[in-house]
Amino acid sequence: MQENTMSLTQTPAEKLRAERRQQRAFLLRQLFGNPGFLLGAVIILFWCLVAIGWHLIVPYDPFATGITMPLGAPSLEHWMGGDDLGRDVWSRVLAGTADVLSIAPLATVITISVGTLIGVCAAYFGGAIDNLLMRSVDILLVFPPIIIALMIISAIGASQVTMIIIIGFFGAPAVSRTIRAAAMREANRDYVAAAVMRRENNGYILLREILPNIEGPVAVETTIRFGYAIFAAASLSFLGVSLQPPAADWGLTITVQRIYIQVQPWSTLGPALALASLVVAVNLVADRLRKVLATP
Amino acid sequence: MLRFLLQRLALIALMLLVLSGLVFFLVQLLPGDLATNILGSQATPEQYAAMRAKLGLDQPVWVRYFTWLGDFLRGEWGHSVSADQPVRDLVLTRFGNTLRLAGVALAILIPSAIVAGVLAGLNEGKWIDKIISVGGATLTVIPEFVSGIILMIVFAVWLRWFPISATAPSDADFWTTVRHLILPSLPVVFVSFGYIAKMARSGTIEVLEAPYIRTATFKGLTRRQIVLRHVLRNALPPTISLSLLQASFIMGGLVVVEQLFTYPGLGKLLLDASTSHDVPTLEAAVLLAGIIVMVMTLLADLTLALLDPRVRVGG
Repeated sequence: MQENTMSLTQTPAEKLRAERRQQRAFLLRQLFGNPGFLLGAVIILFWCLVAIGWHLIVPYDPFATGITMPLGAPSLEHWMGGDDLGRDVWSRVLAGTADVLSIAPLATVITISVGTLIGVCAAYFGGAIDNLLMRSVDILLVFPPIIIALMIISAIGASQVTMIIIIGFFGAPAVSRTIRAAAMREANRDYVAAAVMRRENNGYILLREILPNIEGPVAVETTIRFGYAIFAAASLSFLGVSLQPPAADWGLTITVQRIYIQVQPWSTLGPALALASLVVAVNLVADRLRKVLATP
Repeated sequence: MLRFLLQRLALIALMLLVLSGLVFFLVQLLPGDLATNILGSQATPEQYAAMRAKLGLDQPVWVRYFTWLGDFLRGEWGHSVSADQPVRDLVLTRFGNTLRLAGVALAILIPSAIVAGVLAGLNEGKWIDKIISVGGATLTVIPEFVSGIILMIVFAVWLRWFPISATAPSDADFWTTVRHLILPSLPVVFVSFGYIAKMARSGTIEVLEAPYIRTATFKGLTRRQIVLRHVLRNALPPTISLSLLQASFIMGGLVVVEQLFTYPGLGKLLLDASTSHDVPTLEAAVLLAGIIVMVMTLLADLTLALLDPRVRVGG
């Protein structure tokens, strides 16, 4: 009864907007009602806040040496102990957040933009273009990414920008496969045929017709790739080709401190657990998002 | 089938060409010049030019590329500057070590992931399925060096169940060597475990829904007989083929793990060669790693095609 009166007073545009609002509220309830998603989101939010404001919350200067006993055991003042130069481990774990969380999100933006563009183009244009793009993707996917990334970095040198670009482009082929599959289902729908008959240009059809209808798979891919970007950025800095000491980056810290694990395990365990919590949290969010948005 | 095989071989040849081209041209960008490295900075311009001619550096890039590729295919991989020994001996010795590590990793990975996946598939939706699925998905996203360092601290430093070093003494027997390799192989196992378990799980569920399973049940076979005779026989082969596709991840993971455990394998060699700019070693190690991954992918393709005629027709 109430719905009837509402629909009488609402214009169609208002009704559509109300429906969208309801859908969004339902989606958010589905996501945040899940304890795994909630936990993951809280952990990610925590590390993001730390990445932005670590200067405000670190108990000690993370770069100051001799703050505590070199390789000192955990104590009340330094609850993860000290590293080889007597720096406070917990302060360095907090400061290291900024390094990994500055590379990974930007790399993810590149991965998703390039991958989505390739996938949507392959699905929409089909034929020879599809063949060429997808065979190239097949070839790229076979090469072990870490090894090729190592070669490129040692050839052109490491900087924040090269890391973002390399990690960004390496994720793109896998994304383009998933997006192509999703876009294939849309490209054969009537609304696309209608847009073609209206003589809309290809750019309009790709970006304004097909893209909004595959935002589910794109959202899922974005979270998954964010996890992989953290994985890749951390692994490359562990291999010592990315940032250099005295950066507090987690991967680099593990490389430098691992020779002391028999004396002071916490200077490596601290960053390792931080990194593990971040990637697992991203995975929890991605997993629930995939289930709720019902993408394969 | 023959056509399919030839197509795939052509694709491999093409990929090898792309990979070798990429390796060669990236190496050209490395700072430093081989002639200057050998002669030092005191050489006269004439000596320098003569050395460049001797090394073939005065040739155009593409001539040098094909000379180099030809040499590589004939097994002439050059001389390692930093190790002062023939690159081929160095790379093959290190590769043997990596094979040993990869062997232990696969010997743990494939049986455990398949058992877990089949178990999850047989108990679809129950708690054991949830634990295996969620656990597998979680382990997949943790970088190898993170799980590696945690394992090292817990099992080698605190509990002392395993040795902290990956390299056994040279006179050690087989089981001691394996014991040294278990800890380094586990991070690699973790990353691929979830994928293979997932494949085994969906294979099992698919088979369980097939009509012949109902027939077998009506025939009066016990559940145990059905699982062993029908489910495993039909679900396993595709799972094993698909697990070969993990070769690329496993190879990348080995580089990281070998660095973490300072294990003298191909991955460690590759990393050291790239930091010390030991060009011939770097080129050979990367190409060898690439070839291994490609051959694994080809094997996966071929066995899948043998198992499922639909792949052949589509291929």
